[in-house]
Amino acid sequence: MREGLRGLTTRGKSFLACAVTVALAALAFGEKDLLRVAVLIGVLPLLASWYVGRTRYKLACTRSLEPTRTPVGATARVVLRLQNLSALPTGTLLLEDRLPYALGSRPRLVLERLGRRQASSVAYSVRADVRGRYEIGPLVIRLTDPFGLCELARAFPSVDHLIVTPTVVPLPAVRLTGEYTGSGDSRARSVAVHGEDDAATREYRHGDDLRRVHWRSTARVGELMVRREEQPWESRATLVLDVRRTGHRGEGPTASFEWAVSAIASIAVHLRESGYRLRLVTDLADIEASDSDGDGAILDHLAEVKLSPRADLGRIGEGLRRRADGGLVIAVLGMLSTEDADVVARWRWASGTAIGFLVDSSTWLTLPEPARLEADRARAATALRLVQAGWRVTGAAHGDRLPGLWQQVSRGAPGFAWRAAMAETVTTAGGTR
Amino acid sequence: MNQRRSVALAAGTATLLAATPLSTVFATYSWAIYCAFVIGAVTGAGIAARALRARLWAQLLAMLGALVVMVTWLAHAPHAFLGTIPTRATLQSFADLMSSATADIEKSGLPVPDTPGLLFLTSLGIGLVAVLVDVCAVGLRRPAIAGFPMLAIYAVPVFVHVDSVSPIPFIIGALGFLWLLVTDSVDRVRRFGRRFTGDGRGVDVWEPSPLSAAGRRLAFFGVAVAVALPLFLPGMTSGVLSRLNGYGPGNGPGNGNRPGPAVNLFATLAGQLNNGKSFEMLKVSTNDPNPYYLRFAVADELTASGFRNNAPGSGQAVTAKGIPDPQINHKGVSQHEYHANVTITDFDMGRAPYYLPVYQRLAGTQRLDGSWLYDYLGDQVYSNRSSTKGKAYSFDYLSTTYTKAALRAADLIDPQSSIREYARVPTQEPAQVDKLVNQLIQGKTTEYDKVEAILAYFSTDNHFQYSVTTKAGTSGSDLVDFLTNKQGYCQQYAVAMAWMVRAAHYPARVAFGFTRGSSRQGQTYSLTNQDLHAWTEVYFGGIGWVPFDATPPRSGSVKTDWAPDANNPTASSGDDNGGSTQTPGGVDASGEVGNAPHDPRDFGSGGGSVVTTDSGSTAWRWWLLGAVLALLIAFAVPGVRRGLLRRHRLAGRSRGPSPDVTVEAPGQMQVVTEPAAIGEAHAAWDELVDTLVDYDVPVSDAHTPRVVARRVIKELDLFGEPADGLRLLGRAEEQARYARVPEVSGDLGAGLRSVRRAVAATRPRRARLRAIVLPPSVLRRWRYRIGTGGAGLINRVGQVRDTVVAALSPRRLLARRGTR
Repeated sequence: MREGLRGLTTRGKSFLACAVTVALAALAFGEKDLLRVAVLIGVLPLLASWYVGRTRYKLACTRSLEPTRTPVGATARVVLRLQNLSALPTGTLLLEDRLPYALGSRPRLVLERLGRRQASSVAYSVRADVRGRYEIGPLVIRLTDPFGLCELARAFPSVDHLIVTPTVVPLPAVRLTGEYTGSGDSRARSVAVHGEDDAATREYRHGDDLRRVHWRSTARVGELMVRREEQPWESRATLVLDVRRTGHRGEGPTASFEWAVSAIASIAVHLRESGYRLRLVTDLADIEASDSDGDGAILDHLAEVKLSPRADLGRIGEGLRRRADGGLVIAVLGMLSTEDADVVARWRWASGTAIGFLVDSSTWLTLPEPARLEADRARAATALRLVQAGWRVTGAAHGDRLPGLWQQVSRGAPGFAWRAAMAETVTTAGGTR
Repeated sequence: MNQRRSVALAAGTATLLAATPLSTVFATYSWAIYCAFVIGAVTGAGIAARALRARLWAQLLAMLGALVVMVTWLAHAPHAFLGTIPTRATLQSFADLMSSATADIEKSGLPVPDTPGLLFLTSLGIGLVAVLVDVCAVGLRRPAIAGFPMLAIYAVPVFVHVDSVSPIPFIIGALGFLWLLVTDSVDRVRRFGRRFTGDGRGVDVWEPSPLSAAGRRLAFFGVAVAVALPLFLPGMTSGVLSRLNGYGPGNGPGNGNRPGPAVNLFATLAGQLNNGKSFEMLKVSTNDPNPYYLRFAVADELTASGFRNNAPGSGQAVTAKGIPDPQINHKGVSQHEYHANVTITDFDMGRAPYYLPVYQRLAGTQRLDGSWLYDYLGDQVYSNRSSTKGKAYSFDYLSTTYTKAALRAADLIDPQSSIREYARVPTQEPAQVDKLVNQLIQGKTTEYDKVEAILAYFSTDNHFQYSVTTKAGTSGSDLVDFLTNKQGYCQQYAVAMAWMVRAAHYPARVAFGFTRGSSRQGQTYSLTNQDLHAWTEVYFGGIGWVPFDATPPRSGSVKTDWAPDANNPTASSGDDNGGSTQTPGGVDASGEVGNAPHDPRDFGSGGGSVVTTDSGSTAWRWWLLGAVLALLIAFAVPGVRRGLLRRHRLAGRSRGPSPDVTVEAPGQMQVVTEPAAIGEAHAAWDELVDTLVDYDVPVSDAHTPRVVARRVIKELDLFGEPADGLRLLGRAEEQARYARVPEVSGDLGAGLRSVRRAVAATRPRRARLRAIVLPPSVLRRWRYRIGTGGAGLINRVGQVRDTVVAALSPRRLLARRGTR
């Protein structure tokens, strides 16, 4: 009741005020008939707050998302299941699920009545056009009385998260040189090659045959080592996303960074499907896609990755080098200065393939002609640095489609396009391969 | 748009309902039809304007236009184009109507007739209210504000009537307003979002909301509280304002609507007596052979300018025990109960309060509704609402006579008593009066002797004469003038005597009424305006107000034993002496000092034997008692039925329900069952199951007796005697069902009792009470029987119908022909 009184709406409070005024007038004039009016409008808010406050329902609310991870533009279904745990039927409940406005308008539902120990489910769908991690909830329940004099809002604390992953475009299956490198036990590309040197050893694992213990190595290392009779070749790729604010242009869903994120996501999904063991390195994050989770962790991170003003290519390089496991390096890079290009050039493993998508973020802006030429020249210079460092570089301008670029990466000789374009420079620089 | 339409309709209907308080102002109901037309036009215009997506101001214009057209049409205003579009001349006629309405208001008392002017005013006002309500509720979406225009309608009867208005119009109006609120609120909730029910079903727009059902319940409760609560507040007859500075119904400036001041009765009296034309005011017939004056009002406030009558304010409805006990328990006071019928032909105060003439010591009234109030201070019957015009009513009264001895032996009046108020004289009392009174009462000891001396002063010996005209004096005081000129009519005599009695420090007041008149046919007196009269009433302790008439005798006046003609003090004169004889063994045989029931001090204390013959008031009590009894019996039936069933089963167990039946197999084997034991076990088991059902212990039909016993023991944690009893009952039933020869060993009755006690102990008190008063087993069985009986009835009706249809169907003949 007290809670209900606190929930009086403006109308309810005005009723009480009017009741007092009319009651005073009735007493002053000695009109019992006016007193009736005063009593009526004075009693109504009290009745209303009693009606609203009396409802000591115990409601349980569970929210489930189907699916919890959805690509941009797809819809996700949110199922709310409300259960009335008390022995009283509920009155009319006004439900509102708090949603970020990027997911559309807040769903509002009127639950007319929930019988005792009855449960009811209601579903609505949300759709996001921007990647991100969205909070769904809390669910706010409003109780109201029939006269609109009193309204109480109660919120369920539970909050769910909907992850909207960046757009993933299917890529054509192409062969990339330097695919099979390194060692490990990725299932897809473990190939036992006959006649390989079997000197390779690894530490003893529980269940290994004792006959396979390589005593010589054991003596040297100081722990049990076994011979590796199979040389697993692993397809391994490290994806690098350039998250420097200075490297990208544009705002919102049409920014060049979004193109970069989408490209990384598409490549990740594509490689993952081809059986690669993936690693994603950004400024702070270093995510390995495990077998159990699939590409989930990478996509989750990509869903909420943001440009960072303090990101530094050097630090990314450090992260990349922290675990030197070789393999393919695919970097989606923003605008680079020539110094940056030198830093990036060192990312390539000695024997590995490095593919660089040089996002030409200046094309996301409309520039006057001289500035455009200047930007093109700068980009060509950085590209050349990379090409010289053994990178395969593909430029990505505004409007380019990733599948086309992907095919281009596989088709051409490393950096062919660039070399052709920069033939003169190449000859002067000399150090090509 | 569609949604707001329901709110608009609700607003219109609510306005119509809110107009119901006008029914207490109007004599007829034609106003309601006018209002319905006007509100319908306004609401329709509003809906149409919204359908055309007009802006708010356009909606307002549309509604006002519809209002004007409808009012013009209803008023049959002349010169209107097509009878509906007002022209300049029409507006002129509207102005005339308005002024005629104002005149009507000033002229006519309540309830007002349906003159064209008033109807025009009403329909215009209600129409404007409808427009406001519609704009507030629909246009501005603030239906709560719409309450103010509705309150304005309600205020009209509230302020027009001095006393309380009947709560029924208020209830109707309030429900209308609440309905509007609920409609708007439910509409708001519907707009909030998609509606669905607990079972996951979506709810369509048209489906009713449970919220509105809750709204109905709350509204009814709130209105009931609003009507009931003010009833419990005592007083409230006059406002704080009137108490503080004397402003109130008594002497406020009259403005036509508000019947503030009472009619100056002295002026009325003088006016009617001086009216050259004599006309009949009322007819009264009574079985009293010697009735006293027919009295209707009293003037009890004495100011320097004379006596004044105030509007009575202490009334209680005559129908609701407003009339105090008329009996006087005092030695020497004798009372006779008589009955009188009054038909008023032309007696009307013109404005409230309307006084009703009755004989004194009123005991009860008939054919008067609750609007008539009894003012116990002034002993007058009045109403602020109902007019006396054409009224016919009857009443019982106790004609009272007093002996001089009784009056002499009257109690002293307590100086602290409120009745002393009536002995107050103005501070600037003329000195001559004081001197005269002191001179008159010199040497007299009792109150009666003093009053008699004052009465005797108004004799012809002292040169007092009756004259309808008075001579003007120079003293500046009407009283002194009269005492000097000694010429006047009843008014002067009554006032002078009352004043002089007050100067002698005894309570006195002036009463108004009719003499017996001069025209009499049998027991029926026809009283005219010339028979209006005023006389003095003096208060005697323990007896009450006793009338004294100081006016020289005229046609129709009555002289009594205790107030003899001043000219002939010894003779008990009067037209008819019969009724004034004493009745020695009368009401007062006790001789003890009685109380005066009309004394305000004792009002409400009741006591004494009541002479009321009010059988109607006791009858409803019997009805209520009967109803309560019937309700109790109805409630007791299931419990009693259960008890009888239990006794029957337990008795059957001991008696053996059926004769022994010996089944002889044709072969060598002879199997003798013991049906008595079987019946016993079955009865005990049935009783057990019913007991469990009563106490809400789940029992499944699918379980064997043993399982049932085991489960109940486990569920209720029984042990010891009840558990053994339960097991015994289970075994007995099991054997009765399945064994060839049941071997029952043990007292099933005792087992049942212990189980019952044990089960009851595990249940909360409510369940126990329910098991006794409304046992679920009995109710369930009845419900089942009603259900199957209903289904059977329907089946039978269906069969009968089918056969009848088949018998009557012409197709039958055709079919036969076909087969032929």
